[in-house]
Amino acid sequence: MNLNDSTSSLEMDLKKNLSLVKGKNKLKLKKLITILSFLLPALILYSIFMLIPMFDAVRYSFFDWDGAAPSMNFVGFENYIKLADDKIFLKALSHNLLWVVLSLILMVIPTLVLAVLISRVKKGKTFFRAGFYLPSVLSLAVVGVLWSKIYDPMMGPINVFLKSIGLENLAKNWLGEPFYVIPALVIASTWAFYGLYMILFLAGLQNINHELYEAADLDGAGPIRKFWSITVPSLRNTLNVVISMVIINSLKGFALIWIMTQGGPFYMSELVSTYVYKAAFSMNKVSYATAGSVVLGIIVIVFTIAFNYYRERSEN
Amino acid sequence: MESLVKRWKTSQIALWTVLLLLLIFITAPIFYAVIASFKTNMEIFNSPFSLPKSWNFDNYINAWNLGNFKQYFLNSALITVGGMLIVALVACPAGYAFAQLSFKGSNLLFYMFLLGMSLPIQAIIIPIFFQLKTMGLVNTLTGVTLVSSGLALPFSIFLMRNTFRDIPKELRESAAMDGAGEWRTFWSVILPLAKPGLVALLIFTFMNIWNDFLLPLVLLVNPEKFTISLGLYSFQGEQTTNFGLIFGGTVISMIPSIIVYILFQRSFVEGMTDGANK
Amino acid sequence: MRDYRRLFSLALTIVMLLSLMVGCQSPTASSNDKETSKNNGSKSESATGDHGKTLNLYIPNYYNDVEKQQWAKVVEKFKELNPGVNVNVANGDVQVESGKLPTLLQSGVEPPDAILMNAGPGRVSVLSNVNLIQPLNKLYEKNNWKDQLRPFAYDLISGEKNIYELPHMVDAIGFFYNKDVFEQHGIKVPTTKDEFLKALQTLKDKGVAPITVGARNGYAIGWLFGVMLESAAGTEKVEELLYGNGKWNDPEIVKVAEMMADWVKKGYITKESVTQTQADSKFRFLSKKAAMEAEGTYLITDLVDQKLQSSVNSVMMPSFIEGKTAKPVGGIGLTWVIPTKAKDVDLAEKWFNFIVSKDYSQIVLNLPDYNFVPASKASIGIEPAGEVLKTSMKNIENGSGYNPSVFMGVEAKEAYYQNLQGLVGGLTKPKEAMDNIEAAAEKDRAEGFKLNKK
Repeated sequence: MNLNDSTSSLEMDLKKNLSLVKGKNKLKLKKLITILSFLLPALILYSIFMLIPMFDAVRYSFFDWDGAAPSMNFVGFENYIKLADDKIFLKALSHNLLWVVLSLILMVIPTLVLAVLISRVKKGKTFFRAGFYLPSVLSLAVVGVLWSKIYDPMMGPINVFLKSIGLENLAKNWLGEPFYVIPALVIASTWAFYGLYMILFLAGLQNINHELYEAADLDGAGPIRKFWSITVPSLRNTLNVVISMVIINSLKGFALIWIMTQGGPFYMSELVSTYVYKAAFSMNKVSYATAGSVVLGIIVIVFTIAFNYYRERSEN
Repeated sequence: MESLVKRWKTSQIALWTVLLLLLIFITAPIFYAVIASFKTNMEIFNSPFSLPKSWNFDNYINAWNLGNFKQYFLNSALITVGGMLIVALVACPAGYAFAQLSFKGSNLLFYMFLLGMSLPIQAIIIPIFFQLKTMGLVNTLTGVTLVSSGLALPFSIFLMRNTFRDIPKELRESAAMDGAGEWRTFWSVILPLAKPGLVALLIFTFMNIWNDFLLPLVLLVNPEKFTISLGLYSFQGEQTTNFGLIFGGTVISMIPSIIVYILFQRSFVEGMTDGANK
Repeated sequence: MRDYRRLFSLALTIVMLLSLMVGCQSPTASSNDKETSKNNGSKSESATGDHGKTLNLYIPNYYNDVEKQQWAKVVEKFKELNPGVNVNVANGDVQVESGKLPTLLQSGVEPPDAILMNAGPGRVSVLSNVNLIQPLNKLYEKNNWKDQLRPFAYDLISGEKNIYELPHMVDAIGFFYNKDVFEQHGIKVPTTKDEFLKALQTLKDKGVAPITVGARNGYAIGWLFGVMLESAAGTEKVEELLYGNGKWNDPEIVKVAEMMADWVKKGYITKESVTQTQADSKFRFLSKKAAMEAEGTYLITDLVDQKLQSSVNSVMMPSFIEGKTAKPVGGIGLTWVIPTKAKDVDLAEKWFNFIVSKDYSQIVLNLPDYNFVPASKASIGIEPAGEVLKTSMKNIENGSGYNPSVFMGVEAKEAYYQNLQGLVGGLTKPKEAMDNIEAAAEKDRAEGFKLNKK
């Protein structure tokens, strides 16, 4: 997201304008109208469905509103104070963090290794790239339904397989035990999302200078050393992008959890998004739920901004 | 030298084998679903890993008709096509304006759009619901179409801006010299050159809207309005134990995205790489 | 090519104009909305005669084809009695918990004239508190519905100033068991506490899952706990809990929770139950992979559908209290409400009158596969054609116990579902679970939730 180009063009444009004779108001107005005509539809659509809701989200969170009453009571930060005291909300928040950590572990390095392997293939690279991307094409509803059947304790293929080879003890109720439920969900979500990161890595790998590897070969470096001392450092920018995307996407998770566990059992897989959805749409606690979602939104946005700042600094 | 070639060949074969096995392992759930969708429930239960005794399409027919996937499919198609149209018509001019027309505050405005890219939809879904309610569009396909397009805008504008930025400004300037207006230049000179970007945009929008779950879940109530994702979800809730039928529905839901993916694989991948790296 | 572009720009203009209109409309739309609905309201009042009118009903998704046909017959009869009236039946999710029903009503578009929803003050109040459904007091007076309902059904819904619902059926929830599974392992139908516990142990020892429950669906785990409460704590205790000053962490209630945790530990309630949905659990039960399940009369249509009427029957969990008999637990199962913005209240009234009429009860009870105990008095004298329903109607003649889920406030019920799920999954301790439920009930009370009964 490098915006330097347009900044410089804007400056040039300004200079051009200044150097020209003034008094072109008519022309200016015409230009304004043209530009507006290009931007207006986008602005309107964006305002109605994103900007206004963003403001509303913040606004609702300061009121006590059930979603239907004609009047709203202003309560200040009360909803936020209640949230800070809400054990389940805090638990959900901690699950979100666990989700992020597990996603990072499962997603980044394994996907990078996969991408490196694919990039080494001489013939059929496209085939593998397309094949490995396939799961990412599926909708989360499909992934959720598919994996909840895979994890089914009685009929699911995992447990049936484990039982058939005599490993009864390893056949768990994957979505029902506190120790397994979040990892099981994260595996399903990794399956659904790793494809994008793989493609980003593949693109990054193409840009690595081959001479580096040749030089390393002459030094007699093994594949693992090459991976850590050439591949990883050269991919730093791609890694940055991938890591930030993994984090943001894991904070955004909802569909899979909703389909597979609805946050259960006993809040064990509750994330902020599922908790908020339940509060708003089945318990009428609209304001309270909105406050929860604002917290999530702020976390994500602050993280994004901080990350971009860090990236710009480290790249320059 | 010969031995080197040989060694290279063996290592390639080894690599191929490893990757192929990995690919089979990773895509196994998809094949499992496809195979199971041809089985009866008893067969799935008793012999989950064997091929079906006979390839019958009962599960598909039942899901399609009794499970109402016919309707879900149509609804999804309407929402997706409508959304693609709106997104293309709205995001192209905007992306063009940001990339090629210099104006005061363009950066600020662009950043404002970018803000929406990182914002999790869950953070604003509740106000969106009430916004749509005041507009009388909850539980309508129009409502879902409009919201989906609105939420797709940040990324779409970002993508189109990058596409248009790669087109040299001289083209626009020379068209202007010939006396063409801004819109005319856009339509007849620049847009045709942005075709690859436009195709990528359409594919992305298709994937996003077709596969979306949260918006339909929140905004649609009546089963006859359900999209395919929501339909599949509620279907599995009702039929939880009929694995065969559920896998039938699951495969039906998979098919369109897989077809679109296979057809446009290349521009899909290119668009994605471009989008994230710029 | 050029035409194509022109078309494209035309389309763009249209979209722009449209979005402009929508954009300008949004801040004021709400007031417009109200006006139109007002207009509609006055129109329908001024119109006379029902000819060509359409009654829009919204009812639960059909469990299966059997139920679909039952409804078709009922609607047919109504049309016969009210010539000229069209009936439009839509199906959907009628649970408050899933959020679908409130959403439907909040959306403000196309509200049906009457909705058959999952009942209970805790659920109905979610809608009535925010004025999504209208009070029916006047209609009750005008049509004298009070005297046409089973007294205990009427008592349950009339404790407050306003009545918002017309009960459709009363629940009779108890255990169902697989006869042949019992026979195969030489188990007699238990009539005492010891026999019951022994039966569970025997089943467990023989490798059969004794009790299955779909704990992922809160209401289903609520059924099981309700049945256990009735048997181990007794109706009065539960009544005190729901209507009086009873506390969920009362030692006697905690004991029931301990019993549930113990049953899980001993394998009486299967471990898989925690991730099962009600449908999963039902499947296990009906395919004889589990011996017992807590269910309502709902199950009958499935029994008919799968031709299991003769091999499944209902059994009451014997009372664990000396000298008492446990009753089926229930309350109102499904209930009719009228949305505030309903277009045609008159037709809804007609429909309600039909529901409490003898005509209705006669039709449905004569269906051998009918699965509900009607809430109307008219149904009392009629003998149902179906065997299982006959047993249930008999069991409920002396009233019923309470299925707590139906009587709890929003917070308490959510906590009840989640904590029971936690118990079944071995994820929480009985005392803690009950403390949590009590804390949530306290929140409800602080919000002004209080049940009153006639």
